[in-house]
Amino acid sequence: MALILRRRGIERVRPLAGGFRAWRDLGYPMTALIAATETGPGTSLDPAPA
Amino acid sequence: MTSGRLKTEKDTDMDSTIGVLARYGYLVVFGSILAEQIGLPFPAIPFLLAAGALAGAGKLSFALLLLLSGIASLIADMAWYVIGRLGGAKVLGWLCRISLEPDSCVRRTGTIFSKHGPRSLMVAKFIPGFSTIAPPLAGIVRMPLGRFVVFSALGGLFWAGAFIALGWIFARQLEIVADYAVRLGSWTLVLIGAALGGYIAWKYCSRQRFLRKIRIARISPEELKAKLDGGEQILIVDVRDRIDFEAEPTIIPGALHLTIEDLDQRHQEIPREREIVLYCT
Repeated sequence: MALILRRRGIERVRPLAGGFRAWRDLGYPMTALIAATETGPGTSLDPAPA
Repeated sequence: MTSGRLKTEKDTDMDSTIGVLARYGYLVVFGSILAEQIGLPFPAIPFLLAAGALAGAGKLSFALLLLLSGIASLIADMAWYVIGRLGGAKVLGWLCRISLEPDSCVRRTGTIFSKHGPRSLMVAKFIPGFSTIAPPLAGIVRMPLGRFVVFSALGGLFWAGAFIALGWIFARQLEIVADYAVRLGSWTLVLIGAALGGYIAWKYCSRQRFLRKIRIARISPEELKAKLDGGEQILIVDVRDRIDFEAEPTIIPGALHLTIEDLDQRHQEIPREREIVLYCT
């Protein structure tokens, strides 16, 4: 996917090594999906941070 | 004279091969399906075709072949279902890692499964890669056992039935192929082995090339965490399929959840100046 976006001209894109599992296994913070979709940036791709 | 004698020997070889298949056909079909569906690199289709041809010649019973195929397939599927149910998302990740196409594996199988639900089990065996993944996937999403057994059994029957029927229909052509195989003798095995080896090597090389490209520009979880803690505005996009959420419904804080199709269609909305980190399972 990162390669596809790069071909579309988005250069600053990187995949997370090990994916979600690696993040979780390191004990880093996670939030429930429902809470994130309701209060987070939703599906907007606006550059302004949430 | 010599050629006549040779022909007779070949015919004897042929007859003995058919004889062995006719005698142990049920066992061979049962064993090959069980082995293939468990995940061993053992192709059941040639045996199903041969058994179909023998059924057409009246040497084996079509109904019994179908019944045994269904049972063998269901035993393997049940084993994977239980593994999926007990192991959860870890099993899917592991299965896709050992697959030759791990990157598309999770995404593709997840999409098919979320779109068509239990019915996808009926066609799963016809789709390479999906056939091994579908039963544990059903266990992971905790599909009710009764529904799984019904759809999985039907899927096994359709799949085995289709190839047995093909063998029946194309019995004459198969006989010609078998005759050539006997003439080639051990060279047949060499040719099949070379073709299989070539295919695996080609897939492996493609995968290594792809990994090299991706590895160049990956971000480690430690680096991402440090950047987020440092207040950097990184756009994190969770591209896991719906099926993965059902197995593990949490995300990295602040991440957007978009499907790969959404992301591809809306790439023009993505801010070029911000760093983007994508993650899947």
